[in-house]
Amino acid sequence: MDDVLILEQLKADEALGFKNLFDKYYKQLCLQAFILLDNSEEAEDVVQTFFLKLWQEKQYHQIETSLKAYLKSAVRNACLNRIKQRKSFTEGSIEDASLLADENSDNVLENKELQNQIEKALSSLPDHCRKIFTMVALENKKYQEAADELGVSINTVKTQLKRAFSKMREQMIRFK
Amino acid sequence: MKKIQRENIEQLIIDQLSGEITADDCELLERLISEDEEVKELYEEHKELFLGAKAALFLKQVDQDAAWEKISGNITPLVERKTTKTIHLKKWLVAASILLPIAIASILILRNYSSNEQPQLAQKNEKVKLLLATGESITLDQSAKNKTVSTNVAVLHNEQGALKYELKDQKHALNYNTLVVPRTKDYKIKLSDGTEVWLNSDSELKFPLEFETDKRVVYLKGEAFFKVAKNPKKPFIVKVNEKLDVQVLGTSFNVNSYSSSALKVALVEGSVKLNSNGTESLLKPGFMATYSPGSGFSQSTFDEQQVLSWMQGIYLFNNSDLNEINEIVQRWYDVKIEADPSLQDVSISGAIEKNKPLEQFLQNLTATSQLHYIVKENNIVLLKK
Repeated sequence: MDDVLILEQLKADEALGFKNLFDKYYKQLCLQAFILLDNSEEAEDVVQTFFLKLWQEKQYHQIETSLKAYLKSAVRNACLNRIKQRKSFTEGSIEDASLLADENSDNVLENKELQNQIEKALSSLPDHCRKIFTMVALENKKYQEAADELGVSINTVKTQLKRAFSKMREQMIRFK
Repeated sequence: MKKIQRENIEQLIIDQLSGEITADDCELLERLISEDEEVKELYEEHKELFLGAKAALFLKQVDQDAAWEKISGNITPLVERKTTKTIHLKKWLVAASILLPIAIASILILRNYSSNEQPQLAQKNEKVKLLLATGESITLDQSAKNKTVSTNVAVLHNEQGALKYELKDQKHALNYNTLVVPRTKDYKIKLSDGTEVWLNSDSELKFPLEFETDKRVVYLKGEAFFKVAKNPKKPFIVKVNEKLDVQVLGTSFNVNSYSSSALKVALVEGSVKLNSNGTESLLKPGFMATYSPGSGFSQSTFDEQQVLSWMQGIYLFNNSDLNEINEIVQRWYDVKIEADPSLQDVSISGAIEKNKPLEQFLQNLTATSQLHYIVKENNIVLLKK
């Protein structure tokens, strides 16, 4: 649905506008938050809190730029605040957390074709290999943690991880 | 880059992306990246893949519906909580269970005074039918022993008043078939995309065994409740009377087109866009749009229990006139109610239960409203004071 229409509905305080906004942007904003926070639960939590506040405090009345730009910067700020609240916060943690969130990350994430290929490459991995990759990439497990959890050696984790990368790269090259 | 060196560098990159790199190795990797274009490329490639895969894995586990439940659960005025409505019905049923014995008692008393025998109301027995694009006509008899029917194009499973099917021949997959539900019957069908449709009596649904690639279009006559399987890439469109399109992405709603002068679409959840010759109307949950050819769209709130009660085989009415009751009775029992002209202004509240004999409703009606009924012929009832 068109952003202009959603914004119009919102400014008329229509619940449908809020639902449409949620349907269109929830996942997108979660992904943005996930890249910044590098923690899937926190990412969803930040975005859900943002949506709640947006509706309850009628913050959408302040939107003057484009809807998308507003949402992106609001969620970004919410994420940075969350990082500052973290117990182990040091000056470096914003940089650490946003290691992946540089200018290139937007290109990767907004390129639908590339994302589709990566998804296919992922699904071509053997189950065991994908499991280990998921533990490290998505769940931020240390090699040792993943090894303990699966009852394998740390070397197996490393080998499987390497295999995941090389298999996926092979697939990607085939797509190119 | 030598092979052995390259493998080592790859390991460093993976360690870096996994957050397992040591400070020394990190320094080494950074130096290699800044000095060697080839290493830089290798790093970028790995990073892009890692980030993309991370994103894909993350998105796969995000449950948008659950998140919406959580958010809307925290905003009470936004979506009316369903539980309050069920309690509503429960209350109503409690009231009915108290009132019913009284009603029955009064019927018994009244009956003793009207000893003359009336003609019996006839039970019509038309069957639900599926007219296939190939010209085959399949009777979906709910009492039939054989629940599975194999036709030229599909295997049909007809169980407990519901139809599911599996395609056999791709050739006719996109052609339209018609499910005809006659008066007195109702029926449920599960379409190929998982969408479920409950059809009320005297209704028809035209649908293909498989949908086109870009949209899902069905045609409806009469009344149906749709629970549309979510697919944002393939909008689901209900065409009603060629005048009105109801377009959704995944949602639950009721369409009532019995009266061509007042088409009604009631939205339970999700969102719905109505389109009639370019005029659009957006509907939010809890609202019902009425479309009439002359005046276009109007919206109002609706009582979910009342609008959807037909699916439970109950029709709840509130201050309805006898015309409205006649419509329901015709649809559900195929019996016509003729009312004495003096009863034009009578309004009645109550319920008709489809799986009970019509006589029960008529008796309740006469017991509580000082009306009398006479069975004129086996399918006509006359109401008098």
